[in-house]
Amino acid sequence: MEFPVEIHPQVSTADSLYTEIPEAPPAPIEQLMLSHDRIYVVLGVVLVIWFGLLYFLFRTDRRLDRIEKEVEQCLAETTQTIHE
Amino acid sequence: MSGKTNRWYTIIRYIIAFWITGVLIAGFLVEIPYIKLLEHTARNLFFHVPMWFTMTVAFLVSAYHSARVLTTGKLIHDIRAEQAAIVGSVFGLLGLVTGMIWARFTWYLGTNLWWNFDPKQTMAAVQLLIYGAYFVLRSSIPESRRRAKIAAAYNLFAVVTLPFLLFVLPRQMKSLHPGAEGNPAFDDITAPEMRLVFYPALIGFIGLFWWIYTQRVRMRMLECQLEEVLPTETR
Repeated sequence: MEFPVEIHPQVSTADSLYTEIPEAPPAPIEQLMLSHDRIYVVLGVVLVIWFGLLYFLFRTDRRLDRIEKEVEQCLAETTQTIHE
Repeated sequence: MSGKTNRWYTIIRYIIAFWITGVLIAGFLVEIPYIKLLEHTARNLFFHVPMWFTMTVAFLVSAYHSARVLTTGKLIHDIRAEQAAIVGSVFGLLGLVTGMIWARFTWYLGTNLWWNFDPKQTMAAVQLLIYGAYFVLRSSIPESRRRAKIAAAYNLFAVVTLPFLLFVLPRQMKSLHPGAEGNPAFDDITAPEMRLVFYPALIGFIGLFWWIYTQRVRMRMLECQLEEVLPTETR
């Protein structure tokens, strides 16, 4: 899904701004993020949300693991008292 | 929980899962008008902004249950208040990081800045620190009834700062965020078709919050029940 090319400001070499102030070349990360009409910025944002929620889910998972262990321990103790 | 409630709980969670999937697809596929500088990053309206709406809802839910702790004294409300605040803070942090990425490759392009003390950004960070203090306060009180009461009182003060830090102060200053010009919600450049995805995105992410929040409340209730059964030295 590209935007129509004609609405992009086209910079020509005859442009005085272009010739007088040479801009520093964009950093590699900027080159990536600015390509394809900056769609990768949106991808980055969505991935941050996804990984953030994933990390949180894993943390909840660890807490549930601990609960399971404790329940097992609890059950073991109960059966022990029954057998005694 | 009765069987019927359980079934609805399950059905609603499936709806949320499908809903969020639809929002993600629509967020990338909907045709949006070309805006200079923003280009496709205008789509972050569907992902970055709902984080803050969700955080606000979460903190309001948390405050409601804190008020209930003070009126009823029931510990279930303390559990709900704490978990809503935790999940809300997670959404707030995600909102902060997504905002940093968005600004870095649009408005701050060429400056190499990830953080430029935009008023709303700064106030949101302050807001999260205020809630961070809520968790620190909680962890400093071992006795559960005392902890519930004191934390609830603090939480009610914390929620009062929220409208000022997020909705009043940032609009008094020059900011990248809309609102300073008088229009609180949308810029004039926001195309109407973007609202068709934005509002469902709000519902979807708030639904996702509710899902995670109820899940964590169930988890925490199990922990509390085990604490009553198991002797403390084995823990």
